[in-house]
Amino acid sequence: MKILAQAVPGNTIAGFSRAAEAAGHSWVWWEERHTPAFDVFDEIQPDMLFYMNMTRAMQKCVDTNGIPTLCGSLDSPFQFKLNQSYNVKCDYLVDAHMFNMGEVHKGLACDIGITCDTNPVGLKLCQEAPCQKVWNIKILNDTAWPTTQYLGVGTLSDKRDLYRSASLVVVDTLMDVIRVIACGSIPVSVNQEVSTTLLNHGMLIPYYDDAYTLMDFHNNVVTRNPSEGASLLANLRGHLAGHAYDDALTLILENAQ
Amino acid sequence: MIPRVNFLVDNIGASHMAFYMIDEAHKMSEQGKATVSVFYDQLHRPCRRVMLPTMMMIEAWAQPGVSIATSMSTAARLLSFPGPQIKMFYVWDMTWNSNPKPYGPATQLFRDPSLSIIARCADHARVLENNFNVEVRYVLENFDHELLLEAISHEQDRKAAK
Repeated sequence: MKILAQAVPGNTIAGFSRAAEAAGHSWVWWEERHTPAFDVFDEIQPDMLFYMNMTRAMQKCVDTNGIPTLCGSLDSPFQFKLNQSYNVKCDYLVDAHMFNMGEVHKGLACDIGITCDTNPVGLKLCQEAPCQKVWNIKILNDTAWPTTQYLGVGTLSDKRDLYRSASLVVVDTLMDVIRVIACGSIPVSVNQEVSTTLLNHGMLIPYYDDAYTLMDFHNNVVTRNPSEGASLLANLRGHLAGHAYDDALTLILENAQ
Repeated sequence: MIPRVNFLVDNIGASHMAFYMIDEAHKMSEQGKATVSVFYDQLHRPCRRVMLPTMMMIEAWAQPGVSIATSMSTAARLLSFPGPQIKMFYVWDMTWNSNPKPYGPATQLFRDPSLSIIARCADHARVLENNFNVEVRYVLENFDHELLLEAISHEQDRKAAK
């Protein structure tokens, strides 16, 4: 299947492109400013159109060719409109081709990784952990932390490397939670709302609002009792089913036909 | 054979670093423990009288011996120099840790295996080891010439052992 996609920035559409290519579909990016709709439809002859903003020219081409369309929105990245009428709602999706278990990055290997905004637990952790001299903490985040452990603003692949290399990752969004699990690390939430947001089967994400209990958790599940950590991770990974772009694309294509 | 030691600095103008570097380099040179040269990036009026050869950074390109960078920019240049047999990075300050910053450039530099890292104090060493997972081989304050010569001799032995 040839899928024509309007080139717009965003991780959602990039996730779909990698899922489509992995499934053997042909994914063609289209920059509307450079190529008129009529020309690109004539040249590519797509079987499906993925768009964000429908123009009159695009509408005419879609009507003429009679192809299914999928409309995404930057405001709600996991809601799609199929054929301009049928709503497809997906749960949080992870790009399994990017976020997966892989080699530990030697420069990012650490006890605790942090990829969220400044919060009292993280700050206390950065302050107290070095006193115990056994903790290695690394922070990658878009906004700066006032601590020496802050490494800078990382790209998605840098964050992926940190997720793979840290034994435990402190996060504050559900999106990051599933990315961390997909990369084979244990997520810990400092946001109660995230921790109680249920994945598929009522799985709770470990939540700590105190740096010392978080350090105890690390000691228990990583240092002293790795088998407990492995079992927790296996349990969490079991709840990832259906949270990949590949699953969402399959669902969308089934509904489109 | 006495070692040839080259300091790579941004400038030798008035600064805490330049003062101590010149002072300790004088001691090394006067005691005949090393042949010292200083290479600078920007031409400044020296903060004190310099009794050592001082040259533009470009001259350090093929300079043999032990070259010691003292800032991120001089360390980045040092990595591309073919001349020095031993490359060291004396991490004088922590300006690389100021925000905002992209992740990557500092990590690449500090993790380069051809650079031996020297920290100014144990706290700096701990931050460097935490952030970049590198081994800080030496900790010495204010270019202490005796400890620096020990470090150089140790590096020469390591190089010879390879």
